[in-house]
This record gives sequence, C-alpha cells and structure tokens, in this order.
Amino acid sequence: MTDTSGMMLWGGRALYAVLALVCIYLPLLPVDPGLRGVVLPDLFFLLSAAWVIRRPDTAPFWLIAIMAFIGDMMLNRPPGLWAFCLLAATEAIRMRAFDQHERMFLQEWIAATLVFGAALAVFHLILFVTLVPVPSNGWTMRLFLVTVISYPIAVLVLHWVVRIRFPEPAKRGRSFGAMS
Amino acid sequence: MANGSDKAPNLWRATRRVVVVCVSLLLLGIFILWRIDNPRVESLRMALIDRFVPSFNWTLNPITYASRMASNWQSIDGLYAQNRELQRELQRMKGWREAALQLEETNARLRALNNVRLSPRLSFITGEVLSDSGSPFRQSGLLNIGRIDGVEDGLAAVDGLGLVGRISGLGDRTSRVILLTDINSRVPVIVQPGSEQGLVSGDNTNAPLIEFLEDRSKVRPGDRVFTSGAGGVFPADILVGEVAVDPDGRLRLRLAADYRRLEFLRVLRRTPNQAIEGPGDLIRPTAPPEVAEAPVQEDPEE
Repeated sequence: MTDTSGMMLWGGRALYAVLALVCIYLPLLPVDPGLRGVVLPDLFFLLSAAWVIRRPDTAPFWLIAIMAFIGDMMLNRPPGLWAFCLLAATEAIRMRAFDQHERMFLQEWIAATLVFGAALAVFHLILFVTLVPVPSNGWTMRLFLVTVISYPIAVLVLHWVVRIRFPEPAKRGRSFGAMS
Repeated sequence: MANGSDKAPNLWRATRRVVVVCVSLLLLGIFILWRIDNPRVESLRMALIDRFVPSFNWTLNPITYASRMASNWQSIDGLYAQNRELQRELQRMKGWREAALQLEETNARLRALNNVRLSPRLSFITGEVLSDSGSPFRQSGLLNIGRIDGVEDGLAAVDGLGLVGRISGLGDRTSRVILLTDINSRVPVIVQPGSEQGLVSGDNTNAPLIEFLEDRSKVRPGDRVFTSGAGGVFPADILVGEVAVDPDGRLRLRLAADYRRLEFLRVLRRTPNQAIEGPGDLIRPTAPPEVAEAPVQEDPEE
C-alpha cells in the first residue's frame, strides 16, 4: 500500500471517529430539556451502518467497538451491551457490503431496518433476562421508527456533506482487499 | 472476492473473526460485570465523565447561548400579550403584597409572644447544570460541583421553586443529579392538607406517580406535596409539587421545579438534626439525696 492511500485510510478512520464523537455528544447537549418526550434517532447507528456499507475499510470493527463503548459510558446506558449489539449489527451489514453497492438504495434501507430491529430486540431480550429495568415499549418503537425514517437523511448527509460514497469500480478491489 | 483463494487473506479473515468474537465477549463481560458489581463500574463511569465532560464545556457555551436566543426570539411575538398579562398580575400582586406584609407583622408579633426557636437554616451550594442526558435509563443532570465543594451522595437538589432530585454519583468536580422523574427515584412525601404520607416514584414521564398513600380519599388534585423527611435522606418540608390526576385515575405529581429550565441548582447541605436519645424518664422533684432519705428514717418512729 502506498503512502498516500495509507494517509487516506487513517484520515478516513479519524473522520469516522470524530463524527462518532459528535453523534455521542449531540444528545448530551442541553438544547431544550423541555423536549424530553422527543426521541432522537440513534445517530451513532445511522452513521456506522451507512458508513460500513460504503467504506468498510475506514470503519474497522475495533473502532466501532471503542466508539460504541464510549457512547455507552457517556449516555448512561448499561455499559457494553449496546456496544455489543452495534458491533454485531455492523458486522452483519459488513458481510453484505460486498454486493450491496450493486443493488438499489431501497434494499440497503430494508437491510439496515432489519438489522437495527434485530439489534434492538437482542438488546431488550438481554436486559429483560438480566432483570435490568427496560425502557417502555412505546419509547423503543418510537426510537426504531425515528431511526429507520432518518436513515435516508443520514445517507444523504454522508454522501453530499461528508462525501462518503461507494468506491468507484476501479478502486473497489483494492479497498475491499484492504478491508478484509 | 478476487484473491479469496489465497491462503494469507483466508488466515487473516479467520483471525479477524476470532478477534471480533473476543471483542464481543469482552463487551458482554463488561455488561455482566456492571450487572454484578454495579458500584465499581458506575464509579469508573463517573470518573470518565468527570474527566471528559468539563473539557467540552467551551462547546456548550455558544450552543446554550444560541438555543436561548432562539427561544427568546420565539417569545418576542408573544411579548405584547405577556406585557399586558404581567401588568394585570402586578396589580394582583400588589394586593397580595399588602396582605403578606400584614401577615408578616402578625407573625412577628405572635412569634414574640411564643418565644419560638426556629430550626437552623439549611445551608446550600449552588451549581450549574453542565448537561443533561435524557436517556431512557436515567433522567439525570450533571452539576459542575463535586466532592471538593462538599457535595455528598444523597443530598437534595432544588431549584428556586421546588425539589429537583437527589445527588447520586460523585466526582471531584462534577456530580450527577437523579431527577424525580427518573425511574429509580423514590421520595417519601407528605400531602398537605391532610398529612397523608406517600411515596413519589418516577416513571420517566414528566409527572411522577404518587403511590402508597394511606387514604386516597383524603387527597385531592391541587393539594400541595412536600418531602416528609422519612428515611432521613431528605430534609422535611421542601416543596415538591402538587397533586394531579391522570386520565387513568392514578395520582400524579405536577412538579413545582421548572424542569424545562434547569440551569442552576442548589444542593442542600445536610445539617443533622439533634437526635433525641432514649424514651422520656419519670418526672420527679430533684431533691438532694440526704434530704430525701431523712424522712424515710423518721417515719417508723412517728
């Protein structure tokens, strides 16, 4: 691997890490505490899922695990559990990432929806089994819906603002080689 | 993949899979550790937050400022109506002020008659709310005062109007306030008038439930709710809110504290009450012993 592509790789990883920190940090802001009823989408999942489908090489699993764990600690979730679910979810998406870009966006969206639903279900199941107080079902449904609905927005932001896109056909082989 | 048949990538993928599984197990292990040994992991979390959140403080200021500006902008169009309303209210307040002054006078006179000893004033520390995470697991806020300012676990936090929550989680410079709306929050209260004891338990809604009342029929919507001081965690007689009834007929608490605008909180320092030791004794004249014994010896002779 040449020097410039190494720089690109680590640059991409750093960019992902910074965006992940922003995603973790946004819900902490005291913008309007009166809006407690409003459920924010799971920004970190949106970022990671959309990123892993497009550029699996710059969002390696260890970085996702570290960031998700930091998120767990900062946002007062049971530490480690949601990070585990996210890691499993992104790995599931990553496995499909090879042929994903040949398909339509709708299929990508459905896949993300299914994976997120499964992750939430596993999360709740483990919480239920270990007798941790579980957030109400209404809240979870709202989180699920809001996250699924905002997936296209996240993809658009990644595509146009951050410029994270599918690798061009010529580069594909190389970038996937670097990933796996 | 093009080079999937090579041996080296296969080996790499196998080790990668193993590492992924290991990391997953590690994360699950941390979760289980948290479940078993909660306090230690929570103190680790507190240390992390203590370390990192204050360093983000500089980003908070412009954002808080901007959001406040936006909300101020929204309220400008309502300003005229608000002004009228305020003038009317001021008129009413003047009447009340008169009444209050008179009452104060009477009160002072009665106190003087009574020779009342007032309870020592609660001392407090004021802190600023750094951030609040409205996660579904905890409704809590972070304060910028901590152990070195004299905050302890379990102290009551109030805003100007009423009880907000309880300190739970302490760093050197930060502390976490569990709000009354949090699912883990239970506060013994007393409903006035009627002095019904009860328990306010949060359920992640804006209006926590009032439970375990002795006699529900004595409690009406609009009754005022104070802390009862039972259990010794909170001082007694802090205003919490007033009673309301939800559509299901359950009693809920309309909080007196303004939860939408938590900026500064007072943390009430605990001033331990003088304990009353032992039950009451017999009340008898305190005569010197020799005087008391003398008539006993004389009695048989008479």
